[in-house]
Amino acid sequence: MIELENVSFAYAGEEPCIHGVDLRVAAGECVVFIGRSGNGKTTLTRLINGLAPYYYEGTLSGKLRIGGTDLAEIPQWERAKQIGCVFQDPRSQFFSAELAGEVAFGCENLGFSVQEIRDRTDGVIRTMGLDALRNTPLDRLSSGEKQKVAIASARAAGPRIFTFDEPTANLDEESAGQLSETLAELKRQGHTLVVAEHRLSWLMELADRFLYVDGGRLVREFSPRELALLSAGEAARIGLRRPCKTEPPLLPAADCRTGAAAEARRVCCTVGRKTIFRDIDFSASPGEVVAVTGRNGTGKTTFAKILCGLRRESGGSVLFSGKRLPPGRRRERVFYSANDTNTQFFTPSVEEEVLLLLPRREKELERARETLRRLGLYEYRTRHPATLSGGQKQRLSLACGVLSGRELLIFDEPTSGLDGGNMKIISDMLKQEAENGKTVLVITHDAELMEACCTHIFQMGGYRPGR
Amino acid sequence: MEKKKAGFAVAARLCVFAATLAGVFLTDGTDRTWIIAAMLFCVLAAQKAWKQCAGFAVFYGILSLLLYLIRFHGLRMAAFSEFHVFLFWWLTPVFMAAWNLVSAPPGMLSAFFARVHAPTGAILGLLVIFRFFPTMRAELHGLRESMHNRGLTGPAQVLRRPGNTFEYILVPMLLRCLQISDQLAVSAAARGIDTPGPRHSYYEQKLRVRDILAAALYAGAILVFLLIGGVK
Amino acid sequence: MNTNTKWSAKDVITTVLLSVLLIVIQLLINMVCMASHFVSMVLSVGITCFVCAPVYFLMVRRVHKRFVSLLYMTLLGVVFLIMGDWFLLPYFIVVGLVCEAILWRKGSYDAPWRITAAWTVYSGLYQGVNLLPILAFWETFASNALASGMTQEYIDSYLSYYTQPGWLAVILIITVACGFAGSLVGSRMMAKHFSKAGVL
Repeated sequence: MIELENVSFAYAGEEPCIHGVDLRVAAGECVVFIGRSGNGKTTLTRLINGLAPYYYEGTLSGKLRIGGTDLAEIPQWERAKQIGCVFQDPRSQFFSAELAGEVAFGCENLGFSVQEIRDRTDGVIRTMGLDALRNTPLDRLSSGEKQKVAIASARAAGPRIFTFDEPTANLDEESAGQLSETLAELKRQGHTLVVAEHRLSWLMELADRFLYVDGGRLVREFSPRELALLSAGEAARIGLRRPCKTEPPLLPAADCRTGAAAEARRVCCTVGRKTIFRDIDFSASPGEVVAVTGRNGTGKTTFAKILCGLRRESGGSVLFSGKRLPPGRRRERVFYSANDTNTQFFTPSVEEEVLLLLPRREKELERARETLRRLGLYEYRTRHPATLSGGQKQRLSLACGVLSGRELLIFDEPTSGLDGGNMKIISDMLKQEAENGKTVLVITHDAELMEACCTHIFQMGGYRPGR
Repeated sequence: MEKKKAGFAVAARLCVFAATLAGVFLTDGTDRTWIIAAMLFCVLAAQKAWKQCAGFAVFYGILSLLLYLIRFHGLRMAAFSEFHVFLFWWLTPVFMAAWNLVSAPPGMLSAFFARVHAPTGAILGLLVIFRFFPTMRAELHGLRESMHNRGLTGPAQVLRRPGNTFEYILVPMLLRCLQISDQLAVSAAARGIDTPGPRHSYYEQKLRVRDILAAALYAGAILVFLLIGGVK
Repeated sequence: MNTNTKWSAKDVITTVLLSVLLIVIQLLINMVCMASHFVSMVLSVGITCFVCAPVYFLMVRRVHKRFVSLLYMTLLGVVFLIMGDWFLLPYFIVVGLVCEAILWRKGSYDAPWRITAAWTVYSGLYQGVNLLPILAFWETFASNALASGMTQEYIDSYLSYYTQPGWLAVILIITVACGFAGSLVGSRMMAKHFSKAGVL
């Protein structure tokens, strides 16, 4: 179905990033590109779906064939009928505020007749079980549902092949599981799937082959079995996340213990008439790394924002060293690093970003240098934060938190969409900060991260495995 | 779905808007524009747009009251001058017709554009305009939180360095705007936006009798209004 | 940078997104300023032009094609049309053409001074947003005002900022100066942030 013959590619004005790749993917196969960030996984999916060099300009050599046709000979819009693309962040690819318009968009572009547009759109919505969402504004859907809508809109044009570029980067474990079912359904119907991904566990039952990409080359091929048998040490060495599902470790619960550095007593949150959560008892002390976990929609992020004073609690109290503090004062003591790093940086360089509003004495400068070095950002210190990769931005946000000097640090899903190497750097840093006397809170679903650095667990909504 | 069916076609709404412009700007007696406003309330009611009806009724009611006080009881405005009160009162029919036009579902608007063979770029632009508001609202919210979090919103910081504050708001927002436009462009390219040839739409619909009737009735009424009331 | 003159989907999206941002900022400032007669008539346009300059700079430099300014100003005109000031649509199309003429020479999109010139001229002409509706609607308003018992003096005092040449000059100078200062800030911001972030 897909054939790559000695394909090399360089983005305009850059060094070549794909070198002599040969690949054959049979119809109905599911192939996954794995490997460290920045080694060409995404570029490979772009080459297959034609966005490179059509949209991302550059020079391509070698032969690419889809179903026997040379890709160089057909225009991009013909390709759009054969290949559906799904990207990282569904939020910012929607052109419509509601489901049907979004799903129909591709068909409208491709010049189908009105009847055909309607048949295809309604058909896809029905097959994917999305009928219930027809009247919900797309912005109000959960990220898992948004990703499903993105797949539906790629599917409406009737492609035989789908490419996915890190589709779970913004999803929690549960939504990733649902995505896995959607992909399994596509595969059952004979579609060919090409996925570039860090998170592996949701693909283990689905994928036929895992291709390890390193330095723009396909260096190794794993069957799911071989990958599952890879030891944790070996996986970490080549920068992979753990392939099998990891159970969250058994940790002591972080319920209310009086005298802790930060405490929440019977905290409630209601928005309008809806109760997000009620009567939350929680505490954390210096030296602890508390994992805040729980299903989607149990209010983990809302709870974190209440702790750090970005939101006001509807009931109960938040105490620091036994004293009740209003939201404005809490902000001086808590640093909150949101999962979405897009609007978090304000200055023109990494070094200025970490020193923002801090005194610039030699002591602070030295600490900043040291932190950047430990997070592998020192060589990027003069770069503009906007030019960093997703993992680097997460690390920069972590650096800002560490250097802010505040006593409680909260990180919201800091490892979502990161490779094994980045995960390790972040977990080491969190551990060390706790040892330096900080109180650390991580909202996470990542059992690997919990295992690596967390000392306590706080389960929101439902049962508590820690006890 | 009931409500969607009650709404007039875009062509009809456009016709209503054009007729309103003519009526408001050509009439000799500006005092009589309340007749046009009343007609527009009927148009909104015929579409079962009760919320819009109520909103404009309150808006128009307050302005009429102010105008009445200004004219007959010598009220003088301290802020927001008499000129503005009069202007807004006079232009309310235009606002109503315009709102009725732009509050048509984006799908219907783009279907109308496709029908009149507007270039793909225009349709794309139209869709982007409607995406702007929900997207920016979310981004601004995120930006405000990160500014709070980094301590950039304290009064001391803002007052001492207003220039920096301006930069801290504008730069992340603009960078994010560019990022979003890139992602939208990739998404459009992947879904065949550059396909040449005619384009159809999911929401394409034939003009119904009630659309034609409404447009004709409204335009006719405006014509009668101008003929009887006189033209400038 | 892209030397292609054909507009791509990306250019359309970027221009429309940033234009809508510009228009929203302008309308917001205009609305807030309406509360005070003095601020609204003398300062509001200046404030607007200062705040919007960096956005305009970014738009022109990022898209890097002819007719960006024209498209933006036409959109602005359409928004005014929708709000009843129909005569501002042809007006802004003309202003857009003037800006295009200033930026017509090849390489203008990389020349901060040319963009500064375009925006400064635009700032001066943007005063039309305040002046034209008053000129256009004045007769209607004046007759209405006389009917409601206001004295001619009171009515004239309302317009005083725009009828005395001294004030008119001050307003124009403030506006143009703000537009110019905004352009300087914009051009600095381009160098400091956006060209470093690699988005120009």
